[in-house]
Amino acid sequence: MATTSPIIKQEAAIPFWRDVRVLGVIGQIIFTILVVIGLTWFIRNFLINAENQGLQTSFSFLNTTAAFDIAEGIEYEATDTFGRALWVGVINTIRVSFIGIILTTILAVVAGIARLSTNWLINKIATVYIEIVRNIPLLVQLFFIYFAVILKLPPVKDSVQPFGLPLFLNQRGFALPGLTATAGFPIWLAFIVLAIILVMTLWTIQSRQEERTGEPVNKIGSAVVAFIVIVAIGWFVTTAFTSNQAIMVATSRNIKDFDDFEKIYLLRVDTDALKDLGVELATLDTLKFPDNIAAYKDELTAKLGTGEVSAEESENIEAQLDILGDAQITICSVEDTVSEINAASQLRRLNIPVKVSNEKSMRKTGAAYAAGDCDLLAGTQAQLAAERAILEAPDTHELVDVSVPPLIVNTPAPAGFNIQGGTKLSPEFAALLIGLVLYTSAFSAEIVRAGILAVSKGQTEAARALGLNESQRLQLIVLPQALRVIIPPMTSQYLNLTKNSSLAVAIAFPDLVAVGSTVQNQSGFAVQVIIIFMAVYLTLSLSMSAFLNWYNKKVALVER
Amino acid sequence: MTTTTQTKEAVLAVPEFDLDVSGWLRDTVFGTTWKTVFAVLLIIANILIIRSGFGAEPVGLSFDLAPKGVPTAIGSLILTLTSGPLLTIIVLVLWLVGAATVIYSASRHHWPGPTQWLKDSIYNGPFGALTTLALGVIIIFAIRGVLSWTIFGAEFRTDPDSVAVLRDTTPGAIWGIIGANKKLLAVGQYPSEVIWRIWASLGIVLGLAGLSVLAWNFGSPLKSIRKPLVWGWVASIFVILFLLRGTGADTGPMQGVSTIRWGGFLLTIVIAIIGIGASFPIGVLLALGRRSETRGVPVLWRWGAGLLLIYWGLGNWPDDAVTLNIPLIFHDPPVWTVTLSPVSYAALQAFILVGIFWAVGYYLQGNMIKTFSVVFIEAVRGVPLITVLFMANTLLPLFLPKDLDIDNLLRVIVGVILFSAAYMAENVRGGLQAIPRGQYEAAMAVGLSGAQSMRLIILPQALRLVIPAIVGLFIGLFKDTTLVSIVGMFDLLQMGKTVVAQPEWLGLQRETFAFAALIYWVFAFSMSRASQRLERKLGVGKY
Repeated sequence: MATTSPIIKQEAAIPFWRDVRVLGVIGQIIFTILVVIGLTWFIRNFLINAENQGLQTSFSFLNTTAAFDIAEGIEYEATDTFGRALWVGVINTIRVSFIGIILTTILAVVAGIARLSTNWLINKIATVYIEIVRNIPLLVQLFFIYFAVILKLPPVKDSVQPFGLPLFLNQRGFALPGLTATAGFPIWLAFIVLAIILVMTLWTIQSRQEERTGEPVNKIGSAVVAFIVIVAIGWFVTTAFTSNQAIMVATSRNIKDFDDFEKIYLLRVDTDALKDLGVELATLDTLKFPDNIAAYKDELTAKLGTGEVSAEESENIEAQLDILGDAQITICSVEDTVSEINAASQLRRLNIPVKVSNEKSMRKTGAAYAAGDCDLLAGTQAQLAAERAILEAPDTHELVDVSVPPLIVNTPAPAGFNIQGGTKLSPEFAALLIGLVLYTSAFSAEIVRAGILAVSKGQTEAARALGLNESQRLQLIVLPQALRVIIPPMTSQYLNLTKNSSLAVAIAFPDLVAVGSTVQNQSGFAVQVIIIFMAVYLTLSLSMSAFLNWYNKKVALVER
Repeated sequence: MTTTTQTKEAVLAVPEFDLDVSGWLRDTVFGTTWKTVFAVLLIIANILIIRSGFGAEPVGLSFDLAPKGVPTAIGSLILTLTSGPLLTIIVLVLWLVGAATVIYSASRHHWPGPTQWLKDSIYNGPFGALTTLALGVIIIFAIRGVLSWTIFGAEFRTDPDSVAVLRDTTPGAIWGIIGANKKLLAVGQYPSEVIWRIWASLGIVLGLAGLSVLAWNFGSPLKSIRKPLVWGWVASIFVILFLLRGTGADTGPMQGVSTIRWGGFLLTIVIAIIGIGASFPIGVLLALGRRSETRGVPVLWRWGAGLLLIYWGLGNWPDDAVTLNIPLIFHDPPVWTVTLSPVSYAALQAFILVGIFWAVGYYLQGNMIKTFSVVFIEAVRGVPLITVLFMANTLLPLFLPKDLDIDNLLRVIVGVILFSAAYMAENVRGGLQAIPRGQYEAAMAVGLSGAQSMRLIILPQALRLVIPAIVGLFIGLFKDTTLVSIVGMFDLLQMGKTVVAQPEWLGLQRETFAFAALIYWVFAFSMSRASQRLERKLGVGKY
């Protein structure tokens, strides 16, 4: 005890200018004052410079007209405001990041597992992919993909179609099959939600039963069956009751369904002209069905493609193809609507060549129909009824209701010099997406691999000793533990992907940074634009990491 | 001692792969039916691939080994061996031979080394064997395509006139664009007559590197020059920068070369090295700032300062109503215009200030240094590099006095330094966190002051730990230097874009970007390998 008091005394004796704690506080205050002075100096300079150069320092410019175009994204016109333009950029950034993150996750898991495969070849392919891609700057890869691959693809007319799949790659972008939601889709979605709730209830009940009786129940099987049954019922119910689609045709044609267009189409095939070109009668006889006509066309094209035909013969073949090509059904409808996609896909399914003549508005489309430019007008029942009312002779036209399922598969098809239908990706979007996914996956694959390796062998052995089967072992033992290791670094990879999407500016994809630079060039509001950049990216980063941290905590609960 | 060895063995024994993917697939995805379907699909794929191999022309990239019409003996041999059908047959026969070997060994219950390897890694189960075949054919064709484009079908002449004639008939790459523009790609517009200065700089670096390798070699007699060498490295940066820039003279061997004329790979290297070099000390300071545990500004003072600022807010009481335009990007229209009465405006100011003070006090214990570090690091790490570069490029001049004109290159480098300092700080912080508490306590017990213990005990250990991470950061930065091309610097990538725009080399993007990719890859890959070696040598991550 005796030793305590001198220490206290000593402490008390330290003058405040030698007290580390006091000095620390004083240091911090001086530091803060210096930082504030520095910032003030910067801001003062800025205000002076801004005044000299006539720059505004408020955000009111966001409400003024932008007067420039944006190539893709949500609805936007050059007469919209700068703010709207930036918003288009934000949406594009989010879109590319979101799709990119999903694809990256898939590719990373595949490559990560491939890297651990015992098959030497698979293993080495994954290693080579990772080592090549992650050591080349993303921007170089983007330039290569965009300038040296996609822009060097053939023009639209000669689109590349890999393995005969309904994919069309050309220098104007990619056309892929897509799904289009129709009017009934929300109702079908409600059925799906209902199915999920029911399946979850069923699962709980069966789990309890399992626990009570000790007998295993095929929970997965019953869940799948229940889900499929409810969703299928929903599909048919929605198709039968919610479809609002119809077509308008001339009454004289006697059309009751899309199938009835077959007769009209066959009448249009000019068999006399074909006969004049020397086509044999036996062949002509077969051309009574759309499928046969399509096959004959393919045959002719293939013959032409071999290059083994004489000039005279090839002229004849081309003439035949022209005649066959002239026969088609023309659809009028408003561009990119469900009606257009539905009508076109229904006719294509019957192998009837379709020409879609579409305009941006129903008014123009209706006028085209009234002028007799097309065989049918596709649209919603209400739209068509209104259009019919303003026709010169409404009685000569009738509306046929068509049933449309909640989702339509929208496959692209070549039509003249263009590709119709399908989901189209612009070259810029495709290049950015491919580049981002390949690059980020190379890093993420290593994370997945490390995560799987981090689960010790003993865990597997213990699981086997408990009598778990392979899938149970993976689901209950390996994955939960691997995920714990994987998620935190994966989070930062997802954030990197989002931030790297800003490289879009180099290949002119209108993401936030690209649109922002245009805004800045047009208006000169450099500071404001950069503040918006920072605000948006910080918001995205923070919300993403907040979400993934939440998920991480959930997963980490498995830990003991 | 024994326990440590045992633990070591245990640790080393852990990383052994045991995710039985095929077993999992068998049990879950492919029941018997699915398994059959999968096998059938795989067989069909194999048949299709092999069939297409039989029909394949030499990929439209035929090996032009006989430019004058008569193939040489070796040329015609390669030509035959690499034609589609033969290549496919070779792969198929090799695969069958392998399969036969494995089956034979299985029947004899005898597994010599190579056969064991074949069984384990090539013919691992029926699916493994079929997959190998499919992938084998695809890979061989891919390699053949790449080789014929890059070498066999390529044209290497650099003379634009003769290349112009040959362009349409050359099946492969036209590498002449690289050869003809090698100076531009390497050093940009740097004047040819003083290019020796770049060689001299390279000489200095190589000389220092050679000496360093010797001096740091274990048991080297040159151990005594280690310290001068370190200073030599530091000095070399300034010497080299002086060599590159020259003096103010317009002519002569030391004529000034403005940074606008620096370009190509030279610029890439300069930005990367200065970026990492300058961000190191800043990063260390930021890391220390973020780890700072100094007592914060006491509560009362904080509130006192808060009250002062509120007073200042009240003092700024406006006379009329104030209209504020607040950007709301997630909202349409994107600006939220509010008109505030003088009272509410002052109240708003006070509210925000009090909010900031409260947050700093609550989350960061009123530690101003920590606050600054955290805000800086997180703000920079939350945004993409390109926005930082835009900021440095367009805003930096606006934030400085009008007459202070800064070089374009300097602006970009400032941006790069700020950006990498934030990441550097996080790396260093990781190293600092890895130092056990006992080290701090021991340093204190020996009687070292805070600064001394940092300098002598903690930092040397922490920095040693993070050397591999810093190399990783450098590789990242080296790759990220390509972004400066977006803000108008002529680095290697931008030079490539410029070179392709020349009328005589128009449209050769593939060659140019492939070459740029190769250069970046060689450097980044060798650095990452070196970093792995270093990691092993330093024994980081092993205990």
